Amino acid sequence: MNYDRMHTPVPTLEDLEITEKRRLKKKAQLVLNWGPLHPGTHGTMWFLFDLEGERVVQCDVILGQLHRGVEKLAENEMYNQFLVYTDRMDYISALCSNQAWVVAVERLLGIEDLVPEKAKYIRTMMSELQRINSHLLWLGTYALDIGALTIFLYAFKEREKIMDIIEGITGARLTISYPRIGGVRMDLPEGALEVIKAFVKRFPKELKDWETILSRNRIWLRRNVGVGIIEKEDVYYYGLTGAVARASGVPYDIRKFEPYDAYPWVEFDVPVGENGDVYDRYLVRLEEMRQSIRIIEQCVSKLEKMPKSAPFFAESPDPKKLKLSLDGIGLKVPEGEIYSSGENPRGELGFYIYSTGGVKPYRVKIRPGSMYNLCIYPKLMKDRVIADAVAILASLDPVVGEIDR
Amino acid sequence: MPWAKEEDFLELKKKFKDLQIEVKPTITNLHIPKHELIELLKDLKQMGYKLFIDHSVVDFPERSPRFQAFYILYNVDERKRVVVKTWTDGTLPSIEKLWFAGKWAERECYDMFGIKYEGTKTWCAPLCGKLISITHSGRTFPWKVMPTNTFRPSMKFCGVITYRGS
Repeated sequence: MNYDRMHTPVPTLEDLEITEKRRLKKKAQLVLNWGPLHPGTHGTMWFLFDLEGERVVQCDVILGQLHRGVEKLAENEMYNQFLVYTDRMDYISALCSNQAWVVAVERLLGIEDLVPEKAKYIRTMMSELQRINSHLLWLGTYALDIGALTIFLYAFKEREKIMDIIEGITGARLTISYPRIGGVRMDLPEGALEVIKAFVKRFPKELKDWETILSRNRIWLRRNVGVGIIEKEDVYYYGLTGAVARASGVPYDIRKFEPYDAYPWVEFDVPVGENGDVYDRYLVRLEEMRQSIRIIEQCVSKLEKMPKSAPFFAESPDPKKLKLSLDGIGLKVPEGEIYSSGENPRGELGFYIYSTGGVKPYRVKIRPGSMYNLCIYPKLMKDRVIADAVAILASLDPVVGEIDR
Repeated sequence: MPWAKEEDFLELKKKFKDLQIEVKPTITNLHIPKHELIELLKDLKQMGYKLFIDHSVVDFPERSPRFQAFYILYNVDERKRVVVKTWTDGTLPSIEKLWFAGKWAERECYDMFGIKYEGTKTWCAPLCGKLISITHSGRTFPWKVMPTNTFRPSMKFCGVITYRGS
């Protein structure tokens, strides 16, 4: 057996010399390595800061540690099989990624209207639960990075409840694959809506408590206000989306601009920031959690009124031409192309699908929100001190699984 | 679906004679020859399509030119989206002066398909580096065969796979 693949070759003296020469040509002599394995980077990501004292002269981002060739894999998988890979991109908001993918394929098939109302409400409700889950992880780790340990414990306590709800409904906690092309994998179990109602009733009070601890805290304000300001024009120039764009005053929300599933039927507001700094991004995400609660409440009241026998999976109008099933085997997609996107907690997750007909896509291009949100990071870090690195990075909230794919 | 319509581009049609507008229920494409691409993108940006969404290519190995590049843009004020497409055999003009995000998309495209960008100073393969052979996303890449002994030595990062900050 060839074991070469198992080992990383040791760099030769020549390699070290090349590296050293390149390093000497750089603008500053002191170089700080941050990552690739560091709790503050929120994933396997590597940063190099060229320093002059505490001041960052230049910041380099090194990606690729988590690249798995997901787009290439998509060409060799059936449409429903690819669903599990979307879980593993942005693993903190797997349900939202699942939803974006199935909606894209449904639109390409032209069966978006065939999907039962119940399935649409369930998918929307679950996605919003996942959004709160994701924002709680962001809030906990962000506060921890800046030094507020208690919020981390509070946020994870609530997050655990959501994880339990999701586990009770779907059977999985992290990589979920609950939606399917045409609906959802199974109906809600007995008592699921009661549990969600109990959570939704209690959660806003918790959120208010955390706000009382953080939002007017002197240390919190000094670490966040006026740090990492993103102008409105930068949003367009750097292709920013999600909470990062909205905090800078651009009301770009796919749930409003291109509504999918039950979003056209529920009422919610899009919070928008004014200054575009780290503090605004914090406020926008907190308000988004409140809006998610509003959406979940409306979905729950609608689902309660639906009969238990209501379908949760679409029926094909002509099974010979269009084979819809839970496993998705034999689902043929006609020739065509589409770009469809969903509003993930980290920005717009888009899928460009090029189909030449058949059971597998010809080309899938994934538009990761995290990747384009991260591309402004070197600019934001210029002339800032090292202490701001964690605050600014956490406010962009990148997930490397989605950036590298 | 928030796709732009044909009448939105009638003015552009007068300026770019080779521009072809293709409107489908699921997408709106603007086909343009490569030499007019940057001019068209500049005009679209002025028209309000200023939010850069994505860029990549689709590989058709049996066709010549081989790659179809696409650029997805969004008009935030009018809530419309459009896709600009062009054909190439391996080189494209760089859009990094129009959108910084385009630079990251271009680097990825260079890494995945080996597309070379004219007018760019950056030459890095951000996702794979030397891990596996470049252009592994191309249709002709034998994806089940992983070349051995090509793992990246950890010290070889400098200038190879970094996204330059400035």
